[in-house]
Amino acid sequence: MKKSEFLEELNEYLVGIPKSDKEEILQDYEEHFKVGKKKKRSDAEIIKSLGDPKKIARDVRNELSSSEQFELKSEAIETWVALKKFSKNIFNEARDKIDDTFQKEKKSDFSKWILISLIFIIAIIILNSPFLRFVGVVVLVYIIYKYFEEDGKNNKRKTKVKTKSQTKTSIKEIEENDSFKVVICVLFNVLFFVWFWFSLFWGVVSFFITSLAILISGIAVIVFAIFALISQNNPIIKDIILSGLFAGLGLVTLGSLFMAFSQWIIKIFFKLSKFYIELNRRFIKK
Amino acid sequence: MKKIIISLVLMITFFLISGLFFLNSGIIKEDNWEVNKSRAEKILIELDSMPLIRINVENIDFDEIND
Repeated sequence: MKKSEFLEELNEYLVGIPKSDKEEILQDYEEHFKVGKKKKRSDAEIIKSLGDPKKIARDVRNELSSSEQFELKSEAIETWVALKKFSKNIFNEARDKIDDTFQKEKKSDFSKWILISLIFIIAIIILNSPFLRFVGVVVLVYIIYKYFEEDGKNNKRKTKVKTKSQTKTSIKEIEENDSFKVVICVLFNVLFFVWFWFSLFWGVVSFFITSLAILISGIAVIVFAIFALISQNNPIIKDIILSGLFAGLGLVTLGSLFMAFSQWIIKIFFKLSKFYIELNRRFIKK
Repeated sequence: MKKIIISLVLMITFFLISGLFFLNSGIIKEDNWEVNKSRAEKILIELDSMPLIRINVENIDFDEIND
C-alpha cells in the first residue's frame, strides 16, 4: 500500500466525522509520512507503524462520540466501505476487459461472456421475470462447469509451463480465470443473494421501526395519562387512567428492549454482510 | 445482560400493575368475568369527554362482547 492509498482509505473510513476534525486527522497522518521520509523510512514501513486505517477510524470515532452508538456506526461505515471497494474492483475488472475488447478489435470468447452477462443481469433487474431467473441458473451452472473444466486444463498447462517455460500464456490464462470468477460471483449475487440480502435488510429495518413505534406510543400514552390525571379529577376514570399510565410505562420498557435487540441485530447483520463481501473478494483473488 | 433482566422484570411489573388497575376500575365483573355494561358505558362516556379521545359509545355492543 502507498501513502496516497493509505490516506484515501483513511478518508473513506472517516465518514460521518466533522469535516474540520477529518482534515485535521488527515493532516496529522500526512505529517507522520513527512517525518518518516526524513528518517528515510519507506511508505510500507510508515504504514505498518501507523496501523490499519479501519482501526484508526474506529478509535477516532470512539474518542469523538461519547455514546454507545459508535460501534454500530463503525460497523455500518465499514460495511459500506467494503461494499464500495468490492464493487469498484468488479467495475474496474469489467471495464478493463471491455476496453481490451474494443481496443484490440477482436472479441475473445471470454469478453463476449462478460458483455452477455452484463446485458443479462440488466434484463433480469428490469424484467424481474422468473423465467429469466431460471435461464440464469442454467447459465450459471454452465459457467461453473466451464470454469472447473478450464481450471483442470490450466493445472495441466501449468505443469507443462514449468517444463516448457511458457510462462506468458499461462499468466494470461490465469487472468482470464480470475475474470470468470468475477462473472460467476456477479451472476450468483444478482440472481440469488442481492434479493435475499435486501429482504433481510428491510426485515431488520422494519423491526427497528416497529421498536421505535412501540417506544413512541408508550411515551405518548404516559404523557396523555399524566395530563389526564392532572386535569381530570373524576374518581370513575382514575383507575383506567392509572392503568393506561402503567401500560405506557410497560410499553416504553418493551420498546427499549426491542430497540436494544434491533440494534444488536443490525450490528450482526452488518458484520455478516462484511464477512460475505470479504468471502467474495477472497473467491475472486484466490 | 443485567440491564435486560431488569428491563424485563420492570416491564412485567408495569403490565401487571396496569392489569390490576384495570380490574379495579370495575369494567370486568369479578364473579363471571363479563363486561359490566353500565360501568363500562359510564367510563367510556367520561373518557369521550376528554380532549384527544373520540369514542362512539352508542355503537358499542356490550352483549356481543360478553358472548
